[in-house]
Amino acid sequence: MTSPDTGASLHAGRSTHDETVIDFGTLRADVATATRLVAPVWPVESFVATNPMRGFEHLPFDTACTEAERWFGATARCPLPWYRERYRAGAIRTADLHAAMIETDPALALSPPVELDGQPVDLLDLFLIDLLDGPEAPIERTGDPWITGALDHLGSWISTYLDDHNPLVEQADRDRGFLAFWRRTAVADPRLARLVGRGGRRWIGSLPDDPTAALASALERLRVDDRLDALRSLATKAPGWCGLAVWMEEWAGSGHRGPRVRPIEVIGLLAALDAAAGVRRLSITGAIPTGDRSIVAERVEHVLRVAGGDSASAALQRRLADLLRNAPPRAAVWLRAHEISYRDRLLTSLTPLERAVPPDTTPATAQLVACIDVRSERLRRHLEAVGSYETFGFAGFFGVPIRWRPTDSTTTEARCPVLVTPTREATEVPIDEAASQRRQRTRQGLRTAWSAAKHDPAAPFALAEASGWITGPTAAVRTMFPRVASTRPEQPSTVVVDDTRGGFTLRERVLFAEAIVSTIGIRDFAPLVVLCGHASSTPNNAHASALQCGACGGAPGGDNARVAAAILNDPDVRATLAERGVTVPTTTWFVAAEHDTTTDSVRVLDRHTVPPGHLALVDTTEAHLRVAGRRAASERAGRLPGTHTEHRAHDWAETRPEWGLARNAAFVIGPRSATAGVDLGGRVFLHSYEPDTDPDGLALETIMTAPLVVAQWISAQYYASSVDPEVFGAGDKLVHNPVGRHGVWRGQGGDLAIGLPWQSVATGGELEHEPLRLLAVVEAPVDRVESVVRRNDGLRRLLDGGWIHLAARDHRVAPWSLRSPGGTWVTWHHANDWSRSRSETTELLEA
Amino acid sequence: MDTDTIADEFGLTPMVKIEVVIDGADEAAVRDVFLGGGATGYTALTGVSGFGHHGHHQGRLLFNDRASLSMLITVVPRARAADLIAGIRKLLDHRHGVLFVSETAVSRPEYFAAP
Repeated sequence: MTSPDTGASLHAGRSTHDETVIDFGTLRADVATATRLVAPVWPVESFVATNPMRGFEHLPFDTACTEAERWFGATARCPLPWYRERYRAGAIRTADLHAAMIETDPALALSPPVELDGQPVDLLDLFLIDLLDGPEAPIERTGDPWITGALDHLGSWISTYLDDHNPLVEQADRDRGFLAFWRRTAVADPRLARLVGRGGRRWIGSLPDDPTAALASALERLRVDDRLDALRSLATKAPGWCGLAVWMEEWAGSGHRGPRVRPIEVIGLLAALDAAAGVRRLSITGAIPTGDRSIVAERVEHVLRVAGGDSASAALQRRLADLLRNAPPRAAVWLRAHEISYRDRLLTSLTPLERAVPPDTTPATAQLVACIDVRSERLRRHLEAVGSYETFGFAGFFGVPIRWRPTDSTTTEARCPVLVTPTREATEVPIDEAASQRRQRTRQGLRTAWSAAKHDPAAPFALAEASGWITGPTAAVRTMFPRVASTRPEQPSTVVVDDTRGGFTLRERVLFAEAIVSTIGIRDFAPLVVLCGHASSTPNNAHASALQCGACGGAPGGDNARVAAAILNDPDVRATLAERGVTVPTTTWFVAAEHDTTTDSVRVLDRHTVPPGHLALVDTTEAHLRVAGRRAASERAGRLPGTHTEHRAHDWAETRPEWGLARNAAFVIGPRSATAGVDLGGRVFLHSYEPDTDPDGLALETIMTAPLVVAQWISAQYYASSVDPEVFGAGDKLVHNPVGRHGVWRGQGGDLAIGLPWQSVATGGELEHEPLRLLAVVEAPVDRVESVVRRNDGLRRLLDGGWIHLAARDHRVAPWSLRSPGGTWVTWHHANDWSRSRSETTELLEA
Repeated sequence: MDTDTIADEFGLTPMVKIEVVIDGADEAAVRDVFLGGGATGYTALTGVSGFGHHGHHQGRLLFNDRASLSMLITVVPRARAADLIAGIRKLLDHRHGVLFVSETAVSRPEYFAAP
């Protein structure tokens, strides 16, 4: 192939200019590969849980932990004293440790015993001594003040650029991009001179505007040997800002309004600082933690002392040293033991012989479809105990991906999981449109005036003077009487979901209705079906959206329930559904409701649309939901420190309005009969599934490739925010400062905090959340489950890598099977049932 | 007939077509290499199914737009192709995916070459 421009082959020799151009192409590719180590960070106003170790999910979990610790300078598992405390408290048993040792290091279990003082001693017993009270390696975390200064500089300039009201940033700066704005403007910043010297600052001022060219210049000046590693080091130094840029580039889509920063610009700025300072501090990894392996000699000495082998031969000491050096990190064994302990308790409770309550066969007077969120489990359990109710679990957006346009709003918000891109709108229409328009004009006027006064450089002082007379007393009332201050009248409205206002066509509405019905496997409809979304009441909380419905993109779920109810009550939809074999009786009415997870109260929505004949049933169901909610709140209050749940919902000084999804541990897919009557402690995502109605496994595939994946993100985020609250979590809420709508700083600047605040996972120094990897439990034919896994690469990677553990049984009375990496299934045995004899251990390992 | 002959005969302009099939999650990286390398646009086909090196790939899933494969196609003048191809090959060092490069001819060359 020849080029008309040069007359040369594409693959023949090129001019120097061409080589530079090609280098830019590969540099952009390397930046994209480097930034994969950093998880996307959603703006805190629409918080989406992600695994901060997401960039390592293609690796087995234990390898990923080592890599994440290396790149982020983090700790990826709890410290040994925490696990040992859980052991003393009985949450982890010796049998769990034995099972975990065998699973994580089969070679150890198969090794012949050693002789100590003439007696044969099992190596597992020696390793157990080391696990239970062997010496710990010190965890040292040293900060470099220069790096802190560099991150402060980055945070200061990015936050300036992303503030769309900042007069310092002109339109021409927006057109040129962040890196060009920074290098043109920061040359006058004395803080930059203090960081990199005057010469370095001048050099930064001479960089090109194009971010790829600027980064290439910085890397050239740094003379890096391994470019990809240098870029990875830079990206992982600022996982907050870099993650936000990754979100903007990969997830925000064209609907995102406001300024954007690109990952190459974040990396480019840090590389430029390093290059300008003349010392590589940002573009190299920190010290690699040595952990357990750094203290092998002390561990051997301890084991021999406890085992009574003080006079052990040098050969035995060497063997033990080899054993401990090559064994998995002790925290990995403890983590697995903790997971085995939870798994055994859960599977035992779901085994029919252990069940106290027989399945209820009375026809339900009403059905409730709640979100799969772990916080629904208590409400469902208590409602079923109060009356003849059948409950289901389904992703809280009820399968309808929408852009929601509330009354009085000129904009829309995505209300669905982030894995789905909504293309249609659902619009809230007030019953009294004229009154609503008046309110909208007044609000818009106030908002515009307030915004103008806030952002005009001269006006803030005048604003404080002018508004102080009302904001002061309002603040006092809000502090003293939080419930009074937060009471707002509700304006009745309806939702429009059809294509008259950008919504769904009839065909689409029918498909969504069918998906809801078929995915959860609902067969007989009760006269009333409550579609119950959830929301959290939490004023003055930067991380409020982390407590809302994850399936609704970090927003309250009531509106999605209203949309789904409108679709399922639509006579045209029902008529078409009937033609497709799904008959919804004319006597059935779908009503939307919202579960407030801070108070466990449930509010019926759009009551004015309920037919008169159903009102009495709605009233009765609402009364029973009140009772169930009170019981659920009372059960939950025992784990919350301090004041009553109701007060927390309105107190603007409350740092912990509720526990959110803390303690989440498992995801059960199956009919409610698999779990009914079992107290799951608000720790389990519950997704309804009827294997009999899904012979081809399509519904199971939908559940395992979307809700289960989102639950893994949530589980992994709670895990990471618990094991390293400083690196993977947002740390202490008390020092948070909001940075626009983007996130929070810890203190006055630096990197954007990622993950959950410490108050979301712990009280004081005590973890509330138990950091475990998610356990998926499926009641469906095991070969169908495996078939779904095999045809979905992403899901298979998560399971084979040990990021999710999977148990399944063919039907309710079948034994549980566990999936091993690679797709081998073995029958589950409780750790207590495992014999410690060598022959049986060998047999088990061979199996 | 080769591309230059086709172009001459029909009054078209020869260009290079670059097609990449990649995980949906890696779409942004490919777009960045395309646009950063001077492509003026691209076509994205999402929810691509097929069978290949890594077995069977599902098409679009009901509630997950990200888990399936995407195909991105761009057309650039020959002078710009080398940068893009080098970038995509580098990306594929660390990702699943395939790259197809072929010659093509277009009727509106100004659409494919930034001023």
